[in-house]
Amino acid sequence: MRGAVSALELATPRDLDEALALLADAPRTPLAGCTDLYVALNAGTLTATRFLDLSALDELRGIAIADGRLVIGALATHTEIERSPAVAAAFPLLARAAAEIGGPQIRHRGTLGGNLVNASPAGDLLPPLAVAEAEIVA
Amino acid sequence: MRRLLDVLREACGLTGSKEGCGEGECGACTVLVDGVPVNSCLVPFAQVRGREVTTIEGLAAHPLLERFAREGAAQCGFCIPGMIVAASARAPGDDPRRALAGNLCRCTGYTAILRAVGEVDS
Repeated sequence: MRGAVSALELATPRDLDEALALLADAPRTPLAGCTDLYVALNAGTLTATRFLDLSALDELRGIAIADGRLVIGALATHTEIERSPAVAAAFPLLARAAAEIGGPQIRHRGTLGGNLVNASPAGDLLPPLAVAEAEIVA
Repeated sequence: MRRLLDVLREACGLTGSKEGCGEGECGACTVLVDGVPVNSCLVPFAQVRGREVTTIEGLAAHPLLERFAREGAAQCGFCIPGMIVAASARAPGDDPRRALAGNLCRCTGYTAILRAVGEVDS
């Protein structure tokens, strides 16, 4: 598969505006930690050829409590969720779920957004988020 | 979308990092990116622009190597680079088993590896 992946296109926007412009311009598959993405590419279940790297978009990072709500950015990694004092205070169940994902190498790369969008039946963050009636904010 | 693992092994000649599974399960490809252990088989090379990548070759002077040798922690040796890189990132006091949870070994049963890792900060 290595020959195949080197033929794939990866756009690297520097900020959210550029990313949204690139998405409007052509269909591109967003990626971040890539822990599910390469597996799907290798298995042949993901046939996209144009990708959009979100990893430089700081606007999508961060975990904070604002106006009485826990707000977690789509690029928050499972390690960040696991270790976040805000999550520990407001939603410890989510931290426990994040701590169960893969091993350390996966948790340092995988993200909340990826876990959601990959929508695996085994997605560890999904049940706590559903129980908490979490809202996705665009 | 070329993988970091392939750039390291093929373009850089750094063959210490191994492909054991190619899907982020075995940890044989573990490298540090800005000091953080990740599976290099799952990292697009483009994402390490501007970042520091440390392979097993960069840890040649690390005290863990002597510990692994003394404890006889290697049998076939295939998992060992990943084990050492992952263990090198363990914070003192953190559970060695948890630090190595992303690294599989088919040969040893882990006992000698865990002895080698557990000893480092004692």
